Amino acid sequence: MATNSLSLELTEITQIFGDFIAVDEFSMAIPEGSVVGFLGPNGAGKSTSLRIALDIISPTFGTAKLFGDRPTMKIKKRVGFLPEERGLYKKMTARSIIAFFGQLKGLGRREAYQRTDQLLEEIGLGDFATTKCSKLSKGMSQKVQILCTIIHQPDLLILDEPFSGLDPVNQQVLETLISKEHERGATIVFSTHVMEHAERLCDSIVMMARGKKVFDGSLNEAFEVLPSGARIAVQQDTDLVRLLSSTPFKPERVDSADDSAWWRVTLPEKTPPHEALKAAIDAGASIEGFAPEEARLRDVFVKLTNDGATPEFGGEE
Amino acid sequence: MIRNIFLVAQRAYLSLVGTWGFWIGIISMPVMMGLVFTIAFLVQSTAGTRYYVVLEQGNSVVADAIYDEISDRSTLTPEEQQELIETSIESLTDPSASSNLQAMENVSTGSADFVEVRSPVNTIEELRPWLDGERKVKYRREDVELFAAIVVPEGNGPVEYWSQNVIDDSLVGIVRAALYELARTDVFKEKNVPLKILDDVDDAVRKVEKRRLREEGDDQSSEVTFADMAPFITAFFLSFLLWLTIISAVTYLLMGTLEEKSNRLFDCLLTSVRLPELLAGKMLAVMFLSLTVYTIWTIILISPFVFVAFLLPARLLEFSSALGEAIFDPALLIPTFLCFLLGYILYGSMFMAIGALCESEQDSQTLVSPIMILLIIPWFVLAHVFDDPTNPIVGIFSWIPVFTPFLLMLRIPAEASTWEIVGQLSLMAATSAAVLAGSVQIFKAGVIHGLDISGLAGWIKSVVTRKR
Repeated sequence: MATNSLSLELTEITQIFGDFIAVDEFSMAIPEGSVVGFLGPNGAGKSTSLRIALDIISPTFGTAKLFGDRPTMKIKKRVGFLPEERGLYKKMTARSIIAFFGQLKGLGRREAYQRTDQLLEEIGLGDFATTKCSKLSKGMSQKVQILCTIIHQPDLLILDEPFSGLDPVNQQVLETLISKEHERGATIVFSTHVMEHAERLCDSIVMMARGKKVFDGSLNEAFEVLPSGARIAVQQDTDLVRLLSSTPFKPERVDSADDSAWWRVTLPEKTPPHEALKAAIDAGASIEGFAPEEARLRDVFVKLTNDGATPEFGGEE
Repeated sequence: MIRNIFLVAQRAYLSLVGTWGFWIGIISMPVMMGLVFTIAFLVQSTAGTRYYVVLEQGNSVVADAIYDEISDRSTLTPEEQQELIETSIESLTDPSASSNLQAMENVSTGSADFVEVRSPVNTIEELRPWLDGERKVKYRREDVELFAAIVVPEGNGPVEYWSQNVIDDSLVGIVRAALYELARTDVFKEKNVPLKILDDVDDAVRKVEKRRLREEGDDQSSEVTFADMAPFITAFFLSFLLWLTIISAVTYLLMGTLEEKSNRLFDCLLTSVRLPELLAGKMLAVMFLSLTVYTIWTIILISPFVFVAFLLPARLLEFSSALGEAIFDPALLIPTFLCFLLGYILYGSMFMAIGALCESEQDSQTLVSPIMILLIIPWFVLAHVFDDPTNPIVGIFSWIPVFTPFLLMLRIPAEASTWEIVGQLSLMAATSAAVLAGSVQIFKAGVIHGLDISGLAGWIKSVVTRKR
C-alpha cells in the first residue's frame, strides 16, 4: 500500500525507559478509512505506541508518521485523540470544555459552540450542557471526553481504551458513535482488551504483547490462527479416540452428563465441523448431541499473548 | 501559535476569574482596609471626653499648665488645622524627614479631649475606687469615669501619672509638654529673660532648603520638589508590585498545573497545542489575573479621591500628579517593563516546573519553600535600597539575576549607568531564557513521563550524562 494512503504509520519504533524496553521494534500501518483494533494485555506497550504516533513522546528509535508526514501540530489538527488516562477541567461546563478543545483544533468560536450543542443533543447530554464537569457522572464525563475528541470531525480517530469504565448501555452508545465516525470517513484506531468490541467493529486488528507485535491482519486471518472445532456427545462408554484414530480428527473428552459424554474434536484446517460428525457416525458412534464450535477472538488473543503474560478479559463488560 | 496561546490563556483566566473565591479575595482587600480606617476613625471620633484629676499641693500651677496645653492643642483654627494636615502629609511623604512619628502624633492629639475634674479625695490611695472604675466622679452633675490622676508632689520630685490604661500615652505627652513649658518659663523668669525672646528665636532660625543639581539648560528651580522624589517612590511601588505579583502568582500557577496533571489532561492538550504555547498561555493568564486585581484595586482606591479632589490639599494633588508623570517616563517605564516581564518569566516558569513535578499540594510545599526564601531576600533589601540606592552592595546584588528585577528598578531613578542597566537586563534575559528552557524540559518530564520530586535528581543526572 502506498505511503500516502496511510493514516498512521509506525516504523520499527523502540521505546526504552531506563532499563525497560516498553516497545520493541514495533511497526504498524493503518490504511485510510479502516477501523483497526489495537489489542494487547495491560502493559503490552499500546498506549506508549499511540503516544509516539502522536509525537507526545519521542521514540528511542524508529519513526512515526501521520498521513504520510511527520506528526507536526498542523497534521495533528486532523487527529482526534482520546488518551487512556483522561480527564476534564472540573470547573468548566460540559459545553465550554468541548468547545474549548474544538477551538484548539482550529474551529471558530461560533462553529465550535454550534457543533458542541449538536453533539451534546445527539449523545443525550443536552440537558447537562451547562453542568460543571465535576457534577457529571463517570459515564457522562466519558461521553464529554469523547465529544472533545470528535468535535472537529477528525480524519483519524485514536481511542485508547475508549470502553473502559462504561456500562453496557454506554458501551453500545460508543460503538454506535464509532460506527458513525467511520461512516463519515474517519479512520479509527482503538485499543482495547475487550475482544467483543473488536469483533464487532474492526476490519483488522493489530495485537501486541510485551512490547512486540504478535499479529497484524484481518479478523478472518486472526480466526485462522486457532484450529476450529466441534463438540460431539456420545454414550458414556464410547471411546471416541479409538473410533476416530484412523481419521484426521483429534477428540478430547471435556464433560459428562448422565448417560452421555461430551467430546471436543479439533478439526484440520479449512474442514467444516459437520465432517467430524460424519466421521463419528461412520465409525459407529452413537451420537447424542452435536454443536459446531466457532473460533472467538479472545481465544486467538490468549493463544498469541499468553506466553508468560497475564491477559485480562471482559472486565468492563 | 498566538491563537493557541490566547485560547489557553483565556480558558485559564476565565476559570480563575469565574470563582467566588477570587472575587471575595479581590473585594475583601479594599473592604478590609476601609474597615480598618473606618474603625480607627470611629475609635478616635467616639473616644469621648476623658476625665482626669490633678492632686497638687498648694497652688494649682501644674494643673493650670496642663489645662493650657490641652487648650492650645484643641482650639486650632481651621487654617491651623489645614496647616497641621499639610505638614503631616509633607512629613509622611518626605523619606528624609525624621518627624513622621511626631507628625502622626500631632494629628492624633489634635482631636484629643481631656477635661480636668475636681478630685473627690486628696490622696492617691483614697482615689483607688475611682481609678478602678468602682466609683464615678462628678462633672456638671453627671457621673463620669475617671481616666487618670496626676499627682504633683512638693519639690522637684517626678510627677506621677496614674491610670489603668497603660497603653494610651496621649495625656502623658500633654503633661510632659506642660511641665517643659512650665520649667522653661520658670528658668527664663529666674534669669530675667523676657518670654517674648522665644518667639524672636523662632523667627530668627534660618531655614534649610533641599536643593539638587539640574541638567544644564533645565530652567527648573533647584529646589527639591515632589517631582524629584516621585521616580523613587514609583520605582519602589513597581518593585513591590512585581514582588506581590510573583508571590500571588505562585498559587495560581502551581494549582493550575497540579489540576491539569491530576486530571490527566496533558495528553489531550498536547495533541492540540505545543508545550511552549501551553506554558505561555498559562503564564499570560495569571499575569492578566494580577493585572485585573491591580486594576480593580486602583479603581477602588482612586475613585473616592476623584469625587472629592476639590477637597484634597493642593500639595497632595501635586504629589499625585508627579507620581503619574514618573510612571510614564520612558527612562523608567521601559526598563521597568523589561524587569517586570523577565522577572515574571523567570519565577513563573520555575513555579510551573515545580507544579509539574508534584502530585499534591504537600509535594509542592517542599519545593516552593526554597524559592519563597529567595523571594523574601529582596523584600528585606528593598527598604535599604530606598534610602541608599547607590550603595555598592546593592549594586552587586542587582547583578544577581534572581534579584535583578526588584533591585534594578529601584536603582534606575538613582541614575544607574546605561551599561549597568543594559548589562543587568541582558544577563537577566539570558538567565530567564535558560531557566525557561530548563523548566520546559522539567515540565515535559513531569507531565508526560510522570517525573516526580524523588526522580528529579536521577533525571538531571541522566540529562547531563546524555549531553556529555
